[in-house]
Amino acid sequence: MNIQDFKSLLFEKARGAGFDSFEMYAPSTDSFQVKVFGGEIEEFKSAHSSGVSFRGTYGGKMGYASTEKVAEDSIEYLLDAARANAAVIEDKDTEPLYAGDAEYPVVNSFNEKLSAAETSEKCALAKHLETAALEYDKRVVSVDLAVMGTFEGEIVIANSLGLDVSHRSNGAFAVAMVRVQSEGGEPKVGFESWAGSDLESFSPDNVARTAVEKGLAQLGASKAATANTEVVFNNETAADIFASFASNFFAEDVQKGFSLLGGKLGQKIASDVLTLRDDGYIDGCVGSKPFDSEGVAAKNKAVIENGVLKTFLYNLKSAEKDGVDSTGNGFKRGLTGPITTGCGLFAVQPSRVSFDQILDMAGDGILITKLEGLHAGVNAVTGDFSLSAGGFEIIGGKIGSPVDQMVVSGNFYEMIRDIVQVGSDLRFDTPSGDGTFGSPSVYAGKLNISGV
Amino acid sequence: MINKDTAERVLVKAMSTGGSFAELFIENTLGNSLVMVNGVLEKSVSGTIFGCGLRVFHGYNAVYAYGNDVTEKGLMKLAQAAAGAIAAGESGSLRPFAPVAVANNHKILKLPSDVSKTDVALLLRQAHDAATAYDKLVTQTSNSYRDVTQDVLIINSDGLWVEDQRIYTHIGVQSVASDGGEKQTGRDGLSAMKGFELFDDRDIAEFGRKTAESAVTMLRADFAPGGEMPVVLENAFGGVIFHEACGHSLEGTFVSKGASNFAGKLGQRVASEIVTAIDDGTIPGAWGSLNIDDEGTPTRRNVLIEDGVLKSYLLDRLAGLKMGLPSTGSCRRESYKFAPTSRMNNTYIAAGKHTPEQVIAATEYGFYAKKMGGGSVMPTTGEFNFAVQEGYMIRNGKIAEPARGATLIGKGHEVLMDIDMVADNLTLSRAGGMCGSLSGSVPTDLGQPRLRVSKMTVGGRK
Repeated sequence: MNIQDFKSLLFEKARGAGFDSFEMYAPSTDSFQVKVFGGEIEEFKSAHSSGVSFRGTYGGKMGYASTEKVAEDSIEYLLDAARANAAVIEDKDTEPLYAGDAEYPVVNSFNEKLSAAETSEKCALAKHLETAALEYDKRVVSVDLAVMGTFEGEIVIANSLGLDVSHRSNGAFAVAMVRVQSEGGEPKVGFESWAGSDLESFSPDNVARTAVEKGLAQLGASKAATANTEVVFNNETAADIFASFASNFFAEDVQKGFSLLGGKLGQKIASDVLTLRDDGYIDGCVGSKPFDSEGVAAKNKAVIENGVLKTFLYNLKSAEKDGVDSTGNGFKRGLTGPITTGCGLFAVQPSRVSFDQILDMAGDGILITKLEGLHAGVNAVTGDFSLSAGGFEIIGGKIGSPVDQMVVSGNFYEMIRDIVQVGSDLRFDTPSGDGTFGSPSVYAGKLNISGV
Repeated sequence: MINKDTAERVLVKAMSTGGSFAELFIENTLGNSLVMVNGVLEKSVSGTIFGCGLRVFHGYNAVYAYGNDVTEKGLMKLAQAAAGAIAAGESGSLRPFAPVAVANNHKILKLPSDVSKTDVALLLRQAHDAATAYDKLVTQTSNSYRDVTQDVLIINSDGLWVEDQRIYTHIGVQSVASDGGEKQTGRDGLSAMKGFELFDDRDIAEFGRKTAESAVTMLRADFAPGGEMPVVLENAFGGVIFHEACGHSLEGTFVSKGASNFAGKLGQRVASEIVTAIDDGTIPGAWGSLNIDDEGTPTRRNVLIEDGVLKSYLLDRLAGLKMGLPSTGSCRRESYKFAPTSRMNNTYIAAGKHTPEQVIAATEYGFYAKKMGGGSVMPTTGEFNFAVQEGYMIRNGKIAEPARGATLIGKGHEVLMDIDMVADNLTLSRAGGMCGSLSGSVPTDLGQPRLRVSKMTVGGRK
């Protein structure tokens, strides 16, 4: 069933069923992915999926229901389930719907040429990626992942207050994971990913080379010594750390007491060198959006500016509670999730200090290039982290021997106060469901390293 | 959901360009979830997942296509897309469908569709009330409920036609204790392949109290030390160590490519001889159980390691094909949106000879991990990590002061060899872990008795 026809029918029946105000959120996605192993296409995936999420106010409370069966006979389920869900809500704070903004930023995130790219071209690129990695160095034992994919999607949000917005986007991505081993040694893994809006900017050779070099650099790694020492996070791992603690900046978490940043607006919470922004859109940056999951126009803003906390991240409900405007950070996880808070392009801002200069400043310590277990070793509420890590020794301001099997521990709130310097090498991670995270390398000061 | 003629046409079309085997996985899943924060019911959502995944084999490779349009037109479109990706080979033939009735080992007494959301709210409130009554330091709670009813129909070109229903119920309890600027969290959960009867004989208030106690204890704890030392892992969710350290590395996905430390080691000694490990998908009502896996193969009790010797991998049909071994009934997927692959069900280490007290008493100095958080592993290298939610120091053979913020790391194949004591108090966790890997997030349970690893790296801040 056509989504506009479905909407008309859904809205007519919702009105009849006694909902005061209501909204339809309808995403649809086409995706393609090819995985190459041993010169053959090991897995080929092609998919189309769509669905409808309905929310509506019934008796002053918001009820939700969603379905992937976009057909007339789903409407009764949506309305009945949403009504039953509304009936048990006890929250006194209302969840408002939004009538829309007068203007939305223009975000060009649909590339017609990418959309028209032939399957054979994408398959060839994935094969090239594997071959390039295998041929780069004879210590490459296997390319366990050589993946190339594309996706395109459209999101439509419309409600009874008059909001009616839609946005189309597409993109491409690639992943290479290689296994390297020198004779008699332990295997090591090198991983590199790429995301972009056109195939021309994808170089299989570069991605393959980076993945292999990352793996090779770790060969012969020894266990790190237990110490309290100078720690530098490279740009990838610094972004991982900030992504893990992003929810501390959500007004929703602050209001419920799940963040320690309550009452700190306008105060100095971090080192002078730290500026952290959450931008809704940046020209040419994958992950840019014109509006959030509530239809609020995307906004660009500083969260921390030279160490001072400037704003929390708001959706409509948390904004109403604090008497401010939404910052365009309303976020819905998948089709089923209720509105919560999410990030846009959330990134530590770069300085002019190069990565090499940062190593020089650190003198002797540890450079972290890999973090594992981020979903488990982080306590977002307290800011404590204790994460399995890999990297290198820093000796006399230069990269030394590889080290692995260590745990880096600290506290996020203390760490942002102690940051000595941020680098110039800003890199954005591949966009994830709840935001796109970026950072330059960060010299964090002293942290605990546990090893032998 | 679909008639035989349509299924036949779709499978034949899918194999028409050289596919050797084709399979349809049609799913209709209903889910409800409720969240209560600080005693106020804030979220209640319902959703339906509906669609079909079509998989075609050619050689040792697979093509996967999925969509929400389960009409003949929609399915033929999937078949067309799948067939278009295959260029050569001998097309498989379609055997006549022979519908199989699945024996249901997991009787559901109270269906999610009959559960009143008001009763759910009452349950969540019991946990909240008990947690806040435990201590004034308990400042926040977040409790959640989720039920899932998944109906699947699996049809393949070998003539398989099988339907199954999986019903899951889960409650998660979280309490936060605060003192000045410090906060600590206690978490627990209860999950099963059951309906609302899960809560009939369980006191949910007790979960609230216990998470509150854990949070308050950790609030008063000093940081854990860092370095190598003996580590005692408590029973139940302590089994996450085997899940991360070895379970993933035994999955056919990794083993069939040689991307695992356990590849080529069947029949060899891979663990200390006091270690026997099992993955059992048949345990009635257990969170990770299934009547049939997501390829329609009945689940089994697979002995993975017996007295330290590697006995079996976890295999799906495709990995089995590559390795010349039969499926172990271990093929799983989060939903029709994921191509299925070999995964764990309920994985545990079998009971040993010691009493739990003997394990502590025999340890002069070390770390006792009472409650574990989540973790992850890189199967290729065996490097794993997991977080400790509630930990204590062991001094002079006794459990001493609490120690917070510890993470345990190691290499799976090394840790298995270093297990030097196994107690007799085996139990499954039932806390309701979701395991994420290539085919998405699936419910898995895990367990073990209390055991000791002679040497492990503890990551801490002291």
